Amino acid sequence: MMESLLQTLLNGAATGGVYALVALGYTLIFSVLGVINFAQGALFSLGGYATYLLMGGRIGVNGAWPGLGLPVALPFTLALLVAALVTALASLLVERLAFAPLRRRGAEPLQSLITSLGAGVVLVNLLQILMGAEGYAFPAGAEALAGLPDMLILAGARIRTIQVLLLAICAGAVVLLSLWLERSRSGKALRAVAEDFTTARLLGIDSDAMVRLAFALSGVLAGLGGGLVGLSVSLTGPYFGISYGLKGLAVLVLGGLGSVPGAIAGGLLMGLAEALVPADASGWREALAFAILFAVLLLRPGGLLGRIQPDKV
Amino acid sequence: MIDNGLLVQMLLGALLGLSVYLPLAAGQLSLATPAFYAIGGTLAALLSTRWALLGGGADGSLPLPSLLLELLLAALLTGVLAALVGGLVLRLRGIYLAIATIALVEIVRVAILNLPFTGGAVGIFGIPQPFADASGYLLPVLGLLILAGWLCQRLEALPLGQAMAAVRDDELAAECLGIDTTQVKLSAFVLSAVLAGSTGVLAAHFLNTWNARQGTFDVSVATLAFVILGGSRTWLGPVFGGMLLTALPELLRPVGDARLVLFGLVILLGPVLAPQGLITPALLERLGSLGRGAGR
Amino acid sequence: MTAPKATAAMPLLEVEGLTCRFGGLTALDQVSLSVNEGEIFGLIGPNGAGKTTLFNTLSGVTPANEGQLRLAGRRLDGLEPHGINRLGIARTFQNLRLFESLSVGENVEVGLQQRLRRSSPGGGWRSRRRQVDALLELVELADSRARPAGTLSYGERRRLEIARALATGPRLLLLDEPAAGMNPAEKDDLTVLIRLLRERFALTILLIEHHVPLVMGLCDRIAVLNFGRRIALGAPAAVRRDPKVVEAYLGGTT
Repeated sequence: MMESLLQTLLNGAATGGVYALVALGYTLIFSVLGVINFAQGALFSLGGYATYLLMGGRIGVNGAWPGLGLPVALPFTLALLVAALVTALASLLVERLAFAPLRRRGAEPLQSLITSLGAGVVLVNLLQILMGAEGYAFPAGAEALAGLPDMLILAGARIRTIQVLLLAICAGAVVLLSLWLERSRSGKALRAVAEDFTTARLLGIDSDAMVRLAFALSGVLAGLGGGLVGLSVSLTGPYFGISYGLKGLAVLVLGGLGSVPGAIAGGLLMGLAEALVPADASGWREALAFAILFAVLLLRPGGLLGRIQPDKV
Repeated sequence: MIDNGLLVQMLLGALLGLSVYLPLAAGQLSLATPAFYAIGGTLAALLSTRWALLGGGADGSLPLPSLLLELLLAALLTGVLAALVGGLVLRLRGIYLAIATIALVEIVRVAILNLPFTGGAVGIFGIPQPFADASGYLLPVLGLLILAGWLCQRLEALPLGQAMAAVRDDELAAECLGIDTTQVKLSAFVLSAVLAGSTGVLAAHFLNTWNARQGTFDVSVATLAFVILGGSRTWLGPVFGGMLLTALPELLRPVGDARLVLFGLVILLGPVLAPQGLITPALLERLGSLGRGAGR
Repeated sequence: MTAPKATAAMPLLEVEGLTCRFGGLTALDQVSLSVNEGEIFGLIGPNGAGKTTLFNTLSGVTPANEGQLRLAGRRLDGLEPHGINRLGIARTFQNLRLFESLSVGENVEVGLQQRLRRSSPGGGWRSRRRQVDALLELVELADSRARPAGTLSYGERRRLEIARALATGPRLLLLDEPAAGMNPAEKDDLTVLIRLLRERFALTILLIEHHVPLVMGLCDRIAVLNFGRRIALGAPAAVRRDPKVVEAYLGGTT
C-alpha cells in the first residue's frame, strides 16, 4: 500500500513538473505583456513531434506517405534541445504574426488572446495534416534513456526512469530559468519590462527585444515539455498539446497570473491532485484541473499567489 | 450545390454565432456557448429517447408539440444554469472570464462523457425525428433565427441594449453612470446560453445522434471565428459569418479537410486586418442609404 | 433607494479621515473636508497629490482603507459605483471616458436611461429625445447629436462628458479637470456653464482643476492637497496667500 502511494505521488509530481513548465511559459509572456499566449499548447505539440522526428521517428501522414522522416537520428537529449530551438523559433513567429501588429496598434489585450488562439489552432491543425492522427511511440525507450534501466526502485516503490528524468529536467529548467531571471543582465532587464513597460524603455532597455526574448524562452519551455511528454507517454495526436495547454491555463490561474513560484507550486499541486484520482473515476480526471480552476477563480480571483491587476482610472 | 441539409447546418451555425455575439456585445469574451449547446442537445436526446410521454415513436418519429416542450425545457435549464454560473463568473475581468468559460466547456464535456446515462463516448443515437427530411427542419431553425434576430434588433432600442453597448465601450464609465454592469453582463450571458441550448435541441434531432464531441473547445474556436469574420458590431455579422464559414468547408472539398486551419487563420488575421469583421455598422449604413436612394 | 435629504445644518458631503493605500504608497492620508449644498468647491494640488484618488473613492471606484464618506449623512462605504451614482453622485474623468462607438446623443441617453428607470418609467422615446436635446443645448452640442462621439474635438468631448454626467440627475457633480486642453475662450465659457449648472439644477459641484485663475474665480471654497494630505482649506483669497500652498507649488502658479 505504501509503495503504491509513493509511486502515485512520484507520478503526480512528474506530471506536475510538466504542467509547471507549461504554466511558466505562459507566465513569462503574461508578465511582460499582460496577455495569455493561447498558442502555447500548440508549441507544446510541436515540441513533441519535433523531438520525435529528430530522433529518427517516422510519420505516416494518415497512411498517405508512410515512412516519411528526417535523415537524422539524434540521441534523446540532443533531439530535445534541437526541438526546443525549433519551438523557440516558432514562438517568435507567433509573436510576429499574432502579437506585434496588435501591440503596435495599441489594441486591447483580449484581441491578442484571440489572435494567439488562431495561431495555435492553425499550428495544431497543420501538424494534424502533416503528421496524421496516428499515435507514435518514440523509438526504443531504452536507447533513449542512454543505458539507464527502464525502472528504478526508490524506497521500495517501482518507478519508471523516465518519470524521474522528467521531474529532474523540469526542475533543472525551472532552476536555470529562475537563476537567469535573478542574476543575469538580460534576465533582470526582462523583469524590469515586466514591472513597467514604459519605464523600462525610458531606462534604455529595448522592451521589444525583451518581449521577443520572453517568447523565445517560453517556446523553449514548451519544446522541452512536449518532447519529455512524448518520450514518457508517446504521441497520441497533435491535440495532446492543446490539452496540456488548457490545463496549463488552469495551473496559471491556480498559482496566480504572473507569479513564477505560483506556476511551479500550482503545477505540482495539479499533478498530484490528478494522480490521486482513483482509477475507477479516471474518466473524470480530465475535468479535475478545470474544476479546481473554477473553484479558485470563484474564491480567489487572483489565484493563490498572484495579484489582481487593478483598473487604472 | 447547397442542399437542404447544408442549409439547415448553415442556419444552426448562424444561431451559434449569435450566441457568441451576445456577451461580446456587452464587452465579454465568453467561450461558453458549446457548453450550453451540448447541454441543450443532451437534454433533447435524453428526453426524446427515454421519456415515453413525449411519444417518440418506434418508427423514429416525434410529435411536434414534444419538440416545443423540449425547447422550453432546454431554455429553462440553460437559462437557470447560466444565471447561476454567470453570477459567479461575470465578476471576473476579461481574461479570467475567457478562461473560466473554457473551463466550463471542458467540465461539461467530461461530464457528458462520463455520466452513466449519457451514452459515454458513443453518445445517444437513434434520436426521434419530428420531421421526415431536412427540409422539415428549415422551419423551426429559421423560426428560431428570426426570433433571435428580432430580439437582437429590438435590444438596440431598449435600455438593456444601450447599457450593453456602454459597458462594452467603457465598463467603468458605465458603472459610474448608475448602470449595474454585472446585471447587464449577466443578462447577455443568460440570453446567449438560452439561445445555444435551444439550438442544441434542434441540432440533436437534426443530427440524429448526440455525444460529448458536440461541445468541445473546437466548437468554441469555430463559433468565435463566425463572429470575428462575420462582424462583431452588429447581429447580422455572426449570422453572415456563421452561414459562410459553415458552408465554405462543405462546398470546397480541399478546404473541407483543413476546416480548422481556415477557422484558425480567420481568428489569427481577423483582428489585425478587419477588426470589426466584414459586416460593419458603417457598411450597413451605406447599404441602407443606397436602398433609400434607390427608393426615391 | 431614495436619495437622503440634506438639512441646513448638515453638509451635503462629508469626508472624514480618508486614507487610501496602494501597496507601499499612501495616496490619501487622513483627508477630511466637507462640502455644503450649493457650493462650488475646488480641489487643487500638484500632480500626484491624490485628487483623482479622492474622486475615485467618492465614486466607489477605489475602496478606502480608513475613514468615512457620507452623502447627506448616509454612508457610502462599500457601495458599488452604480449604487453611489443612484444616490446622487456623478463624475467626469481626467482621461475622458466617452462611449466611443455611440453617438453624442446616445452617450447622454445612456445616462438618462438609468435615471428614468428609477423615477418615471415609460416616458417614451420622444420625451427622452427632448431631454437629451435640452442637455446638449446646455453644453452647446445640440447640432452634433447624431455624430459619433469619437469625432468631437477635445473641448467638445469634455462638454459631452459633463452633459452625460448631468443626465443621471445628480445632486453632487465631480468634475475632474474639466478645463484641461481648453483655450482661454473655452475656459471662460466653462466657468459660465458651471455657474449655470449650479443655478439650474441646484447642484453642488466639486472640481479638480490645475488652471488656478479659473479655480480662484469660480470656487466658493478650496482645499489643497499635497502628497495625499490636506494642507489648506478655505476661501480662495486665503488659500492663495497660505505659505504652505505657495511652497507646495514651488513658488510658481500655472
